[in-house]
Amino acid sequence: MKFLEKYDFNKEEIAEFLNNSPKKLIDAIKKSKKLVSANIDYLKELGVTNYQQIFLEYYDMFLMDHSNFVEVFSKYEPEDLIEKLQKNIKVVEYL
Amino acid sequence: MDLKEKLELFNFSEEERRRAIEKHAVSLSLVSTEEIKDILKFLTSKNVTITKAHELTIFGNGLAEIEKKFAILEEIHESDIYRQNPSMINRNVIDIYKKINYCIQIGKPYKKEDGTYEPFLFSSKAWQQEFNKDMTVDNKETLNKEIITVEPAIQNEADTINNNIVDINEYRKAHEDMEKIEAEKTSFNAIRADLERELAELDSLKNMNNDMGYVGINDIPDEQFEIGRGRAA
Repeated sequence: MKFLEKYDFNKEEIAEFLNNSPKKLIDAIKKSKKLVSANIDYLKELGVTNYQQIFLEYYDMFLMDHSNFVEVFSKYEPEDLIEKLQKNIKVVEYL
Repeated sequence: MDLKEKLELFNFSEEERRRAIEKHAVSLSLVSTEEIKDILKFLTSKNVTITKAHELTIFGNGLAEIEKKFAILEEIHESDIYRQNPSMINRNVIDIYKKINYCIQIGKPYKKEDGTYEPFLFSSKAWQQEFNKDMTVDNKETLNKEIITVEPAIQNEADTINNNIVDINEYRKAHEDMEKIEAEKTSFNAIRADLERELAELDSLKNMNNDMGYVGINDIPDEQFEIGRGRAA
């Protein structure tokens, strides 16, 4: 999971993620680093500042096909979405 | 087709079903339909219901792991954590267990008044903010060890955990006893209130008798009885 450090996840966050996530999903993320990275990059470029939190809570979504991932977030006005996600990441559940 | 078949196993609303297909299909793709059925059967037996699409991640744990996690929290009567929020099945149960034990030891409430659990049980950051104390299990391997069984390598840990379970159960028992005493006290107070009301009624009757010049039944003149009998007759 070292690739997450590139996205400003600190070691404690990565350790906590590994400690609190199902093994099958951790393995899937390890196997799909490129896809996960592309999806994190998209959120980062969109301006979502708390993308780390979103990943740590909704990691399985980052295994979505990239175009589908983009589709989920691009349905909304970026500024509005970013603001809502900053207030409460649970918004992700309702997208 | 496979995903559709798997989703049929859940009682999702239309909206949650859409979210499951769009965002959480990967979680279901990692397990077979049979595995999902087995896990759902176990969860149903424990009164845990999966109603949200994002909760599908728990199937990545596998049945044996989920059973083990339940067993550990059931030992301390706190498996409600999973009923309140099934996603918590993903969390490291040993961390949760240790945190609850620590809270009990120092008398810190870990449940809110409405019965929901404090977020610091599930987040290292929140825990550190609350207690300034690290209690994270070092690595994932710890989870794979048998906690309650008596294999020599983990005998000490099992003994410690079992002792802690006794402590927690004693604490719980003391609480239950307090609740019983409180219930009895409430019942006695109700009886006392009834008796006081009856006493007040008797006093009022006595006062009425006094007003009529009667002190007691023996003080009622015989002629009054005669009149009474006459009337009755």
